[in-house]
Amino acid sequence: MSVENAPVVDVDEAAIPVEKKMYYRFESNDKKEFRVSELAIQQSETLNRLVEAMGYTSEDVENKPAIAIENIDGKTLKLVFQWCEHHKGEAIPVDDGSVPKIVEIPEFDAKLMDIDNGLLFKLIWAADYLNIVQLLNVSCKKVANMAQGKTPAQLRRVYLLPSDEEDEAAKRAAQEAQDPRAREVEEEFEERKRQGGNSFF
Amino acid sequence: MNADVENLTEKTDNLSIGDSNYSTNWNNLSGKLKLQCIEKMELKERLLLRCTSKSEKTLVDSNKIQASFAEFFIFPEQSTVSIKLKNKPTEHLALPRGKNYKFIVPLIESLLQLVSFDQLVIRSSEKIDFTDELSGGQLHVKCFWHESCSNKDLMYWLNALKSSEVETIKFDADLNENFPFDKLLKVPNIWIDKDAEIKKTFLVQVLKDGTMDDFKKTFSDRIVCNSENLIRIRTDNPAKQIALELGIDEGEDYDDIDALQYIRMMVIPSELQEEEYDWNTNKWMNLLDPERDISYWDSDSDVYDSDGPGEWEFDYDDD
Repeated sequence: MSVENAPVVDVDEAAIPVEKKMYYRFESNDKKEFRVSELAIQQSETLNRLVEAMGYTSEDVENKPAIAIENIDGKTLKLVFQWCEHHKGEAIPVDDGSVPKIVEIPEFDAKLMDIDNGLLFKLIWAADYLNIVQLLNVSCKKVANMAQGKTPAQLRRVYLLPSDEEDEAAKRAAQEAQDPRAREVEEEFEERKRQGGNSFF
Repeated sequence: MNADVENLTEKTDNLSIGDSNYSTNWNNLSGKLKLQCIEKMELKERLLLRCTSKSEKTLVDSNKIQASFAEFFIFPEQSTVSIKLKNKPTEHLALPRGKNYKFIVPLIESLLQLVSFDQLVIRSSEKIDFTDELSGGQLHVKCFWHESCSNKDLMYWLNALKSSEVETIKFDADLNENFPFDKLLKVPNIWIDKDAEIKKTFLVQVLKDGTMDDFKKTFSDRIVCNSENLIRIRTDNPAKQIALELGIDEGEDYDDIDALQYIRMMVIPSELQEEEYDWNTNKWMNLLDPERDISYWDSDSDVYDSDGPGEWEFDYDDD
């Protein structure tokens, strides 16, 4: 099944499918609404537990507001639900630590994740937040694959990694934001050291 | 049971793992998610990522990659690193012939930080002290075999192994007439201090006469059993003793190398009776010196796929 044919329905863009199967409605933080089948939701431990706890009937789904997912935008959520619909009914991998993880990215997933890096990192975050084990596996594998054949300098560019100096500066800025006096004390200490003083106090 | 519509948003909000900011690049990922990506990287990518910054290095090193076997072969004329990760073919990295061995040391340094070895074999020239180039740190190795080395390197590895969880150490020092045997006698003290695990083993093949006498003299106040080829000493843990066994090769004539000794030190349960276990003397002697009994290797056994010298078959019930 191609990405385009995945049965996730973005309410703004397509008609609501008329099926007797149980569907749930979800809303992203930018107010995009999605209908997702009960079976697809089972790929997400978080959402599955949520809908189980709610005990919704089909009428509830239609009559009550869509379930809000405050932390994820519509673009990302669409990818998430497309993935869940495509993989619905598949067994969820259990990590017992006994076998080294070898992750293959299926063709559908590869096409789904043919996106810019920003959206890919959002997808990882969403997969973790919604506890979708296999989506997290393949999206992390995609990020891991981005490192192949790169030099350390290229890796810095691909992952937007800070240098040690930038890391230090960020830490100092964070410390200063917490305690502006700390930096002044440090500078005063350094100045006294330069002047040959042994004791600060 | 239906939840109130008004509570739905609150419910989903409560599911938040604390950070409501989206991750749009690597730096915004949590440490846990970064590690999930790193553990899916190949060895080469991990080695390169740890070169990018101190924080990535720390992160990469915190997630050890498992190798079933590795060998560092360090000689002035040729240096090679071979490594076999679990479920992967063996990879070899060789410096061009004649290239200074120091060029391969940074790779070894990184591997020692990044990899957890089931078996690590080191063959290095007695003429070079390549460990001078290593910064130290904890080794993660179950079975450590040192085939040849300088005495300085030997001490480096002995010290590095002090704080590791190594189960078996093997030193092949039969070609080293200056082997610092006095240092070897410190091993039981280290085990006693650390209350080492039962089955922890140290194997050494050395050109030295009087081994058993030296051992008896050093641990005279701890000896609980003393025979020609076996000494048992008590540790500070009443449940454990340390056995020193001298392997005798009865089939060989050692007129020309009359001081060759096969020695095994092992932590054993105190209650273990001599008749309750099989010492497997030939097996561990063959592991020390595969060439002494070629027929041993004619079997299907493979030294790197065998249980290793740490897996002795006690006829002993742990319960």
